[in-house]
Amino acid sequence: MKFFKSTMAALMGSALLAAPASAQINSIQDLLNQVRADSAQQEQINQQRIRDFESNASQQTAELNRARTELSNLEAEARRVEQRFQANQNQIDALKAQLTAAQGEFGEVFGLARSMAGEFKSTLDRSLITAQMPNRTRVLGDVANSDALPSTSDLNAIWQTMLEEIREQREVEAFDAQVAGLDGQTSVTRVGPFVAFTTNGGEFLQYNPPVADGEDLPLLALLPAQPGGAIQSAADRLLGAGSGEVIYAPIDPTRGELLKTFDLRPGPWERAQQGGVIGNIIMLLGAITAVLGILLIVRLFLIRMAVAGQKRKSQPSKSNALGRVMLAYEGARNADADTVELKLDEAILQESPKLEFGLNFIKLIAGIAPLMGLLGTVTGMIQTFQAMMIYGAGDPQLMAGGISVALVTTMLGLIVAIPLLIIHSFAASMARSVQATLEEQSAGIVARHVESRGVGGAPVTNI
Amino acid sequence: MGNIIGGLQSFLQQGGPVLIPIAIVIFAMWTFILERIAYYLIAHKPMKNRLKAEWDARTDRSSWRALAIRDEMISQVKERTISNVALIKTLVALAPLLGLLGTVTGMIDVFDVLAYSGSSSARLMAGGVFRATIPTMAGMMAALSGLYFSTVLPRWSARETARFADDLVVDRGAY
Repeated sequence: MKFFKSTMAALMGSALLAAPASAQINSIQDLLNQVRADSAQQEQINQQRIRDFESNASQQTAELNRARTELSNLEAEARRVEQRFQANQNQIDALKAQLTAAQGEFGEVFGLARSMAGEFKSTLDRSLITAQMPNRTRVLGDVANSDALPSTSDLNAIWQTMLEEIREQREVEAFDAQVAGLDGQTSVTRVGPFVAFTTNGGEFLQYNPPVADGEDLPLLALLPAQPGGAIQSAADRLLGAGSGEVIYAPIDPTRGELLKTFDLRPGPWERAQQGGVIGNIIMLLGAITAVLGILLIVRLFLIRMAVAGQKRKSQPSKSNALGRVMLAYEGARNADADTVELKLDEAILQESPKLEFGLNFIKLIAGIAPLMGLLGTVTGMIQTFQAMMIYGAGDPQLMAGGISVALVTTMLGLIVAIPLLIIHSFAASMARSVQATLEEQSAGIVARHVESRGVGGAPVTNI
Repeated sequence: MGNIIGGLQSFLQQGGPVLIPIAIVIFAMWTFILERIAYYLIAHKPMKNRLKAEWDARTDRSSWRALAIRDEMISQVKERTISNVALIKTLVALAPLLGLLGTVTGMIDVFDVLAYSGSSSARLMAGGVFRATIPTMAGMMAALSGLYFSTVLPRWSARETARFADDLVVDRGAY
């Protein structure tokens, strides 16, 4: 249906377009005349075309002949050149045979020199000492790659470079070199072929062998992760040492590979993140409880100060615990001894919960944290054994990842629990000392104050 | 002297960073223990004598007020003798926990080496095992060295308090 509609639209469109041309056509006769006139005109045009083609044909033939002669000329030229090439090749072969004959035994020597130069160049390119003398392998490269016979100086350069390498391997030297990541020339200290570090600051560098085409790249670069700690201080010690002194210094016997692994070592935060969800929960609990514990210690400290201040003053104040207990006595000073005792006990009982507030929570978290660590260990081990079930136990790397995850949670649990235990012990002993003051001494302090004021008239005297 | 420092340095290096908190714990624990011993040797007797003289000087040694003051004196002695003992006990309990922490960090090192190298070479793992065992040993040593005092100090405190209480004689005539 759709097709039909569009067809109709096309037909109507064409009818409309044809309308002006067919304005004069009024009958079938007119149409016939028109068609006849058109075809006569077309016939004339076609005749004209045929004539044009015939005149062109002769021109094209001439062109073809010209091209053919040119081709034959060029072919003759090619044959000539080829003959000359062949002649030259023969001459080269003859000369080479002459050269080989002239070299005699020495041919093998030069071959050996070439292969030795090539091998030695690749060895030197991997040596850290090349960073100090970047151009020393150029002669070796020339000897190895060129077909020309090496000159005497080239041959001497091979063993001289070897001796130089041997000598440099026992030296500790400072030199200037380009270091990737640092601007301009940097002073670098090198320990034999083993390690290199910047002379100012002792930052360790890694050595990248030169690439074949990119010659301008600096051969030294800062290590992505500095080893730090004892290794760094050993480097500093070396920088500060005088000549001829014997000291402990850092040496990487793998020539850089060992130092590069420091980059693989996770930082403290990355390490903590290995604990996963359980590790995060432990850290969150630990942080909250530590803040709470420190606030509690500050609060208990202030309370103790206030109580100690109250002990010295005779006027009870409402702002501290001991003052409130003393005020309770003031309210009952005229009652008998039992009532006074009761009132004091009641006042003390009201103070105790304020002192102990939060202590049990800290103790609880300090107990929970290692348990959470244990939980993390168990879930980590389950993951490890699942990995072993799927991939087998052949790859220690697969297992090691899971096990180290399991251990991190244990570590976090202990790290959280240990400070919390100290905080709890500290806060608890402070609370206990204030409590002892209130429970055992408040009656005595009250009695002293009464005596010092000389108000003995109350009927509290005899039991 | 340099030899001792060098030996200590290499020991700390082999045992890893956990040895430093253990050293601090040992130092704090023994500071507190020595403080307790110094207290008993120097400050305890003068304080006891001062309080006893104050009590003996009183004329009234039988009223409620007098007994309250006596209780206060006894409590003061108790508080002075028991102070820091709880902290010493906590530090003694803490030392093996720190040793355990060192064990765990050492084991992490072992498995790190496994993860980097992908081989289970015993020589590579030995460094980590060192780190695991030395802090355990140090923690045990710390705990053992303080264990005796952590049990004996509360006893001393209780004994001294009881003795002092016996010294403060109450006039029984009032009863």
